[in-house]
Amino acid sequence: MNLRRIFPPRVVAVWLVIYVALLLLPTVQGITGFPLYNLIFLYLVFFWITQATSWNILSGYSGYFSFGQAAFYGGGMYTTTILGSRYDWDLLPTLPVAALVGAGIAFLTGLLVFRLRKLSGEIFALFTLAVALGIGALVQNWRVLDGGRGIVLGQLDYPDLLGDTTEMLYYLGLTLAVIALLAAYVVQRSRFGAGLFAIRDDEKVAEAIGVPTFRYKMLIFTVSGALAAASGGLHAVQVGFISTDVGFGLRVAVFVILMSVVGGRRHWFGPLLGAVLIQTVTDRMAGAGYAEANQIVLAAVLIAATLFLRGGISARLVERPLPPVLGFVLGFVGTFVAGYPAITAAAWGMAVGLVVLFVPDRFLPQRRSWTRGGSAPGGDGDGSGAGTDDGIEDGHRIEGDEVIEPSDPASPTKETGR
Amino acid sequence: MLEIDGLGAAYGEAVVLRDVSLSVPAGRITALLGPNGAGKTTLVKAIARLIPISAGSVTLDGQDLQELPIHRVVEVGLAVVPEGRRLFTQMTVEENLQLGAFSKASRPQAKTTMDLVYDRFPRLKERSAQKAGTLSGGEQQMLALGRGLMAKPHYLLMDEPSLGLSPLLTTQMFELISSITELGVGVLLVEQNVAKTLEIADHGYVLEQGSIVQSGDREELLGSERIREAYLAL
Repeated sequence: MNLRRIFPPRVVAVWLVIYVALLLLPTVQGITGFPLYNLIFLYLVFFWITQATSWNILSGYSGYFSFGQAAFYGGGMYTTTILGSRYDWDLLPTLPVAALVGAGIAFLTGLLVFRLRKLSGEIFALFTLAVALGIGALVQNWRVLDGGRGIVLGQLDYPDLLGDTTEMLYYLGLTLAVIALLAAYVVQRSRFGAGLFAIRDDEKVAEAIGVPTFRYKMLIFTVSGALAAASGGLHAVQVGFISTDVGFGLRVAVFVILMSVVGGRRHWFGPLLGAVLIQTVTDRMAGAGYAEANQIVLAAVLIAATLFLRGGISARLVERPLPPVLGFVLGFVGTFVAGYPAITAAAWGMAVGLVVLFVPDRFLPQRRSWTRGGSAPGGDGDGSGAGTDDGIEDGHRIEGDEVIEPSDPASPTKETGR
Repeated sequence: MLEIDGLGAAYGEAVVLRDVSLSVPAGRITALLGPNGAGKTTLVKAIARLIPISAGSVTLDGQDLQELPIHRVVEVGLAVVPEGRRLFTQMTVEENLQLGAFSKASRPQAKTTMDLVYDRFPRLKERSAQKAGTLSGGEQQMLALGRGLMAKPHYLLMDEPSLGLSPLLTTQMFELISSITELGVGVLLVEQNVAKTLEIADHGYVLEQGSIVQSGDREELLGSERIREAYLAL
C-alpha cells in the first residue's frame, strides 16, 4: 500500500484547511457573534453527510440498495437514549456502544441475506426494509426498550472541553462526518473498494476474478451500520424525545437515498454534495415558511438529477469542476454581500452552481485548463506548435474576465485553432 | 492439465449437460465445437463455477475446483473470458485490466502483465482512460481477453471470442489466441467459427445435446465426414 497514492498531499492539504476552518468556526462565532443558528444548521449538515455516506459505502459502492438505514440509525439512537436516560451513562461512551449495536444488526442481517444464495438486489432492498420495520415494531412493543410511549433523553454529561450543547453537537457531528468521509475515501481508493465496485457491476464475474464477495459485502455492511448507528446515537441528544416514529420511520432511509442519488453514488463525495444541497434547500424552504413545498422542490431536483446527471452531481463535477464552482462562489458572494444570511446565500450559490452544472458543454467556453489531458476532438497538433496560439487566446479570454459567460459556439474566436 | 470428468449441469428440471468428460492440456488449444443450444456456454460456466454443477468433477493440476470457494478458483490458475464479455462497463479500460489481476497470485506481476497486454493490444493502451462501455465490439473483446490474461492463468476458458467481430478482427483475434499458448497457457476455446478454430486448435471435442459425441486431434476432426458436413459445409 502506497500512502502517497491513497492520500495525494495536495488533496490532503485542501481538506485539512477546510477541516481546520470548520473546527475554528464555533470560536469565531464566540468572538464575532454571527448567528448561533448557523452552527445548529451545520450540525444537521454533518449528521446527514454521515448518514448518507454510511449508506453509500454499502449501497452506492457495492450496488446493494438498502432501505434499512433506520435499523442502524434508530438502533444507535435507542442505544444512547437507553444507556443515557436509564443507566446515567456519559454521552461519549454511549457512541462506541451504539456503533457496536449498529455493526451487530448489520452483521446479523448480512449473514441472513448474503448467505442465502441468489438473493437479488430487489429482495435485498425489501429485506433491509423489513429488518428496519421489524426492529421498530420490537422496540415499540417491548417495554424493556420503549413500549410505545417514547423516551425523554435529558442532559447527558460530556467533557467541558466541548463547550455548550450546540458546540458539543457541532464538534462531535463534525468528527463523525470526517470519520465517515475518510472511510468512504479510503475504501474507494483501495483494493477493497475496487472489489466492491466490481460486485456492483457484475458480481458473478467479480467472484470469478477473485473478489471474496461474501466477506467484502459483510465487512462494508458492518462498517456502514456502525457509522449510521454512532451518528444516530449522537442525534438522539439533538432530538431529545425519542420515539419509534423518530428512530424507525422511513424519513432517514428515504433521505439518504435521495442525497446519494442526487450527489452521485460512485464517488466518495457524492453523498456529501447531496447532503449539503438537500439540507440547505430543506432548511431554507422551512425558514421561508414553505416546508410543505419542500418535497416538491426535492422531487424536482431528484428528477432532474436522474434524467440529466446520470452519475449524480459528483460525476459531472469531476468531469468539469470549474464552471459550477465559480457559479456557486459568484451566487454566494453576490447574495451575501447584498446582505442575506450566510445559509440563504449558500442556497443561492448552490442554485446558480446547479444551473451551470446542467448547462450542456456546447454553451460553455471551450474546455481547456480544467480538463486533464483531454485533447480537442480531432485535434492533431496538441503539442508545441499550438502553444503560442493558446497563449494568445488565453490572453483574449482573460481580458474579457468573463470565464463562465456562455459563449457563442459559432463565434470563430472561440474555436480553438488546433 | 485441466480435467473435466463426468460433468452434469441442469437449469432446474432441464438437464443441459450429461456426463461430459474432456481434458485441456497446458500450452495447447482445445476446441469445443457444437451447434447452438448444445450446451457449450453452460459447460464453460460450469467449469468456471459461474453456475453450480449437479454431477462430476473439475480438477486443475490435481486440485478439485469444487472444494474451493469460487473466488479462489482464479488463484489456482483458471480464468474465463465469458460469453458476452461481461466487462465492468462503467469502469475504464485500465480499471478493468487492474481488476483482472485481483487475485493474490497475479497481483505481484500485474504491472508486467499489463505492459504485455498493452503491447499485444495497442488499441487498449490508446483507450486506457476510456470507459469500457464506450469501446467498440472488437475493442471490448480484446479487453475481455486482456482482463482474462491479467489473472496470469494457467488455463483460460474462452467463450465465443470472435462473436460480432469483423473478418479482419476475427483473424487478428485467432492469431492472438494462438500466441497465448506460447505463454504456456492451456486454452479451451468455444467457437462458432469452426474453420478458423480448427486452424489453430491442437485437438477438439464436439458437443451435441449436452453430450460429447466426438473428439480427436485436428487432423482427425478435419478429416471427419460428420464435421465436414455439419460444420464446415464442405
